[in-house]
Amino acid sequence: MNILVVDDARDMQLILRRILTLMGHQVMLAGNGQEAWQLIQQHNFQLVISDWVMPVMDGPTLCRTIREANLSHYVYIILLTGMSGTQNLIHGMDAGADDFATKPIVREELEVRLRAAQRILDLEHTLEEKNGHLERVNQSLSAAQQLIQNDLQRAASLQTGVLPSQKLFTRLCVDWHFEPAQYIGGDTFNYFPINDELLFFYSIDVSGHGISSALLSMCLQTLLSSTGELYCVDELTRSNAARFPSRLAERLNYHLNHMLDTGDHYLTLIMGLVDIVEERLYFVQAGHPKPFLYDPLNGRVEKIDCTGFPIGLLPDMEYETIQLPFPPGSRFIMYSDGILELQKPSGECFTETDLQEQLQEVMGLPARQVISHLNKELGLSQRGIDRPDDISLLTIDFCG
Amino acid sequence: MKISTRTEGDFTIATIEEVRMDAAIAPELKNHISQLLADGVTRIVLDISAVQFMDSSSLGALVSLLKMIGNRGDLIIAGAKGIVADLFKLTRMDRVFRMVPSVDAALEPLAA
Repeated sequence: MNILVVDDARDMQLILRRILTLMGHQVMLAGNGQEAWQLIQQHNFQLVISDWVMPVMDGPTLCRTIREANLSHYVYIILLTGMSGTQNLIHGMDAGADDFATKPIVREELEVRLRAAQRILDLEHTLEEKNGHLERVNQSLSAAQQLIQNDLQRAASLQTGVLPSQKLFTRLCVDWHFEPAQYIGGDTFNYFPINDELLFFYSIDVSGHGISSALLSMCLQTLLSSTGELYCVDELTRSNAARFPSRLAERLNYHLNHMLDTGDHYLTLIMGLVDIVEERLYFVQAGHPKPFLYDPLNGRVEKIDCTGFPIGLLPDMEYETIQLPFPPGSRFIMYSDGILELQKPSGECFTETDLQEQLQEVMGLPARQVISHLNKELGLSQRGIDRPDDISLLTIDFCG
Repeated sequence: MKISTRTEGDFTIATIEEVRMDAAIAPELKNHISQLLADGVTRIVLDISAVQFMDSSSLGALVSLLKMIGNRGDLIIAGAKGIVADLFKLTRMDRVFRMVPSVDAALEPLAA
C-alpha cells in the first residue's frame, strides 16, 4: 500500500517508516496535518497513519479535511494516540477516523490493523467497480430508451400519416379525430370512394394499445385497402352492397383466426358503405361502441342499437349487414371506447348518453365544427395528458 | 391483482376483488386461472360482481381462458352488471359464456 505517516516527532516517523517498509509498503512522511494534506492532494495514498496532537493541524482536523474533500478513492485513516478513553474515541470517529492505534507502537498489532485496512479498501474498490459498471449499464439503458422514444415519435407521425386526408367528396363530408394513448395506438379508420355512388368506410379499435396493437392496426389498413387481398375477393358494387360488409367481416375474422398470429389481440369495428343513389347506409357491427345516426326528418341523434362478435376473438362467427335509410342531411358517427374512459370535470366517466347529448347540441353545424366542439367539451387534444386508451371518432355527413 | 379462490362442491369460485379489470390486470388474471386449470380444476365460476369497469384486454383474456378449457369444463361468469354487462352484450360474449346473475345462481343446479 501507499502509506502516509504523519507525526511531528521525528523518531516516531522513522520507527513507523522502518516497520512499514519491512512489511513491504511504500511510505512517505509529513510533520503535521497541513503538510500531510498537501501530499495527499498530490499522491494517491490508500492509508494515512496520523498522530493526534500536532502543531499547525492536528490529527482529527486532518481526518475531517480528508473526508470533506470527497476524494475519488477511499482513504483509510488510523489515528495514533497516547490518550485513551471513550470521549477521545468518539471524537476521533466523529472526525472520520477508521481505526486507532496506541503508542508505543507494537509491530504485531499494527500488522493486524493494516490487514483490516486492506480488507476495507478491497471492499471499497469492488464497490467502486460495481458502481462504475452500473453507471455504464444505466447510460446504455437511457440511450436505448431515448432511441425507442425517438422511434415511437416517428412511428406516431407515420401512423397518423396513413389516415385519410381528403374530407370532402361530391356529396359527402367526412371528418375525424384521432388521439393515441401512448404515441401510437390500436385505433385506426379509413374511407375511400369506390365510385361516384359508393363510399367505403371503417372504424377499428384493436384491443390493448402500444406497439403491437399499432402494428396490427397498420396491418389491417393494408388488408382492407382497395388493393388488399381480402377486399379484392369480390368487387364492391351497388348490387352486392347489402352483403358486402358482413362477408368482408367474416373473411377478416377467418384471416385473423387462421392466417395471422395476433397473440391475444383482436379488434372491434364498424365497417360499411354509403350508397348515395339509394340514400342508404350499410354496415356491419363487430363489438364496436354503438354508432349514432342523425335523422334530418325528426332532428334527433339516435343511438343505433346493434351488437356483434369482435373480429379475431373466436373463429367462424357470423356477421350481419345492417341497413338504414341515409337521406341527405343525415350524419353517421362512429367512435372507439376510449372516449368512454374520459373523465368529466365531476370525476365520473363520460357515458354514451353524454356523447349523444353533445352530438345533439351541434347537429346543425358542419362536421368539422362537431369535432372542434367535442375537442372543447371533452378536453381532447390537450398536450401532456396520458390517455388511458386510444381515442378516435369518425363522422360522415350526407351534405345533399 | 386481488383474486380469492374457494371450492364449493364441484366448482372453484374465483372472486375478482378489483374495481377495474384492465390491461394491467389481464395477464395476471390469465396466469392465475390457467394455473387453476393446470392444477386439474375444470369447473370455474368467475365472480366479477365487484368489477365496475372491464376493458378489451381483460375480455380477450377471458375468451382465451374459455378456449383453453374447451369441452373439458366450464367457465361461468357471475355477477356482471352495469357497463361490464353491457360490454358482454355489445360483443355478444353473453352468448359465448354461460352468464349468471350471482355465484349462488351458478351453484343452484348442484343443489337441485
